[in-house]
Amino acid sequence: MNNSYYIILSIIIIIYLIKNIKDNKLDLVESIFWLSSSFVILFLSVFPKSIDYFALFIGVNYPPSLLFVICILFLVFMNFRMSKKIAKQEEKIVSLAQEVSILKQRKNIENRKDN
Amino acid sequence: MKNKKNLKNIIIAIIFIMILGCIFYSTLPIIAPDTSQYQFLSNIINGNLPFSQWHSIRGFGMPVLLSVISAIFGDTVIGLTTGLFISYLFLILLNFLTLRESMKFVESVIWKKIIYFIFSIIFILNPLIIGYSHTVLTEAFAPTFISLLILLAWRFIHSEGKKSIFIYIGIILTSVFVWFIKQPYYPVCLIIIFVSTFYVILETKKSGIKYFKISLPVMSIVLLLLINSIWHSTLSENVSILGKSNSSFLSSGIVEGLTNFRHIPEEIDINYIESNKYISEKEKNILKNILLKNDQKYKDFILLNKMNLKEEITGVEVIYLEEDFINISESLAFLGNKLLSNPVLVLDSYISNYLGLINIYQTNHTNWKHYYPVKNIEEVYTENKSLGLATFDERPIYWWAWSDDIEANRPYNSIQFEKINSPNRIFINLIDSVKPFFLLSFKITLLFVPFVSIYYFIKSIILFKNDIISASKMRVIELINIIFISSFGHLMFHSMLGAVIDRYAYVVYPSVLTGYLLLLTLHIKENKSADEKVKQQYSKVLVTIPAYNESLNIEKVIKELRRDFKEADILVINDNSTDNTSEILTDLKVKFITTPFNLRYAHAVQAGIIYAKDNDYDCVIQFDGDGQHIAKEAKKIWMKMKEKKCDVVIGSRFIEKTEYPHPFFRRVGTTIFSYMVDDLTGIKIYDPTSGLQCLNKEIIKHYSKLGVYPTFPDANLITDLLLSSYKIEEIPVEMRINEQGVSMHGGIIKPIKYMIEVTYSVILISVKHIGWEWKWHE
Repeated sequence: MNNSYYIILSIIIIIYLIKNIKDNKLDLVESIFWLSSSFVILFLSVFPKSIDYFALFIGVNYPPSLLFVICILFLVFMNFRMSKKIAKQEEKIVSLAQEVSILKQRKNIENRKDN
Repeated sequence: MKNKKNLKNIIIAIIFIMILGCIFYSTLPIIAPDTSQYQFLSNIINGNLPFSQWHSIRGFGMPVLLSVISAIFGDTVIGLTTGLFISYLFLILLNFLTLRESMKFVESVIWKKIIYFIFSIIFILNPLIIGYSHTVLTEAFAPTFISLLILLAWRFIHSEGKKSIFIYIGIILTSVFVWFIKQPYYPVCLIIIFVSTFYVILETKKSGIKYFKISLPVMSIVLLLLINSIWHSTLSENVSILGKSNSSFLSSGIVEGLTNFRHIPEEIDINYIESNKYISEKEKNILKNILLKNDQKYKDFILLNKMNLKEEITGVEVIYLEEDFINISESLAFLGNKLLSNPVLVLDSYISNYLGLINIYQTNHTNWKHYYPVKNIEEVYTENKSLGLATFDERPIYWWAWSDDIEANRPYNSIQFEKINSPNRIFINLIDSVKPFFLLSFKITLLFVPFVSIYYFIKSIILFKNDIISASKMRVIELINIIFISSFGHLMFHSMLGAVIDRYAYVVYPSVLTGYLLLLTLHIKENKSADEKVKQQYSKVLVTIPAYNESLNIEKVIKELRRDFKEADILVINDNSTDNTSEILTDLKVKFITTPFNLRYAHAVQAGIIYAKDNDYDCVIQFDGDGQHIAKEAKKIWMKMKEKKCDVVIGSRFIEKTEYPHPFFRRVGTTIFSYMVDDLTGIKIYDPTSGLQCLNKEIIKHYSKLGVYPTFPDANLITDLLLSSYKIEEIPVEMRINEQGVSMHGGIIKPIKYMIEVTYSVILISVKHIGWEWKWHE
């Protein structure tokens, strides 16, 4: 594919992300990560040779493998964040459920009292 | 207070001038050859060199200016450059004054708007009209006088009677003066004269036949001159009175731009084509025909070697030139064709043009015909390196980096400059000692401009869309926007011409001018008058106190509120405290809600707002539970809201000097946020992080919706409200220091995270307000 197709693709990704952020579908902190990664994608599509420079700088012999490494690291990191968030949310849901059950019971008692 | 303000303004002005000086002097290594041009020019003036070797594009303004400067500042190069810098400052001042004057002509009738629009088109295209020359200050002077011309044209439009005659004469005289400074600007002046004369015909046809009779011949002369000055290729090689511009001025620049990152081999003859392994057989025949001048269709070609990162040749690209480009339309057609056939090439060459200046692409060009600074200036002194600075080598021969076409017209290479010894010696030492600083400042400026201009571009869209800014503030904001937008735009245009470096010294001028016309076409909107709001009551008020482990302070806070602010209902949001806060609250018999798990500050406050919405409260006052806020001040805020009938009232600590001992870093943060809010919306909020706020019923409704409330409700909320056209009032309040307990913003990491999050949130919120309306799905 010609380079310009990738540039258009990355711009579409950025627009899609911004649209999602505007609709409040993404959390603030997560949006920082996703948006910055999409800008990295844009940068890479405009300057595809920059991976070569980067690889020279780090000392990787075969530059495309650096792409994969970066991607995988990013995905693992996001995964870890998600796990933390989910753990927290489990806790919150459990305490909500407990509270709701206690409230239901209190409401039943009041209903019986009224009757 | 006023003295302090004046002092601040003076300091800012001094810093601004110093920065300008850095920008200007950072281009010294490239401007300096122009000062040795001065020797060349003075040789002509003294009669040592024949006049026919003077290229008419330079005009006569520069020698005059230089002789004046050398009379005042002395004949040394340092004196010359200082004098040039001061004249550069004068130009900026003149531009600013012109802008300020023309700001008064914002409101206008429709056909005047058309004239403004025409001017804007002219001046956006102006850099293309400039052509490919490199004397720095003539390029600054001529456009400055053109901006003066525009001012005169506007004055002319808005004046009547005898005064208008004088102004019209002034217009013509100024444009003649511009011709003497820099001839390629002349078409622009002619267009201005043409349009003003057209105005004269339209306006005075009804009233004064006298004017009409004069204006018609003037119009025809002007038209004739205009056509003549644009018709480049028919004029002779020698200097002629009507001025000669470069043939292929645009194509040389564009081709230069296209060839920046590619390598042009030095000698292209038939042997080179034969031995090149990347050219196909069919193409070899075509190229040989062109070289032997047998080809009917193509006059010349440019052979580019594509290089990889290690600067090995990996391929060949050939650009066929049908003939010399003689006008703008053909050059634009060439560029358009290139864009359609190989857009990546154009984009790549444009970007590498721009980035080559700041050495992001580090190339090792062996072709000295390219006009870009090298990695190290030491490379200049060796052969076969790309240069711009070879003037200062030991040899007496004056090298200059040029493109092929102008090269043919220049006798410069053969001029011997043996007499220039002592000034250049001093200058070389000066340059050697400070060149790292100059190059660094140059690069930083180049890197900095695009991002700032993009930021201001986004901001101007926001401001343009929202009518909340008062007219005068809007103008100031627009002025700054204009400078940055157009400086970047100007840089873009000139990088297409392939000669960005020496233009950068006067980047302010075209910035001001181009953006100034953008300003007019954008039509600043005035402040929207306050609509009739629904009749609101302000009587039922709720004080929400989010509390997390505030057992030490909460009792005092509640008692104080009950004593001083009797009209308010109190609601404490117990954020799942782990200590005995809930017992204290039940003892005090105050209304409170307990959340099932810890919600943190922002969502606890939102819980209070939802409660207020459910129970139909008119106002909500946010109050801190750690004893920092004083109840009397809360009452003051509520009274202010009743009086002013606004949407939000913020209790600010920093409008007047209070006793509040704010820690230094918190103070820095608050200042930064207040500046950001001011920058984005034009309204100055002195304490965006204050937690003592009073909210209206509309805003209560707005915030009880889920997902709207961010994690830290500070400057981002305020920006959101301001951009949604809500009214915010700020009154000074007193606060106490937090005596006991742990603050929310403790430690080192938390404040940093807080700053990043709030900054990013402010930017996001402002982006949200740019707004495009299309929806993909609901």
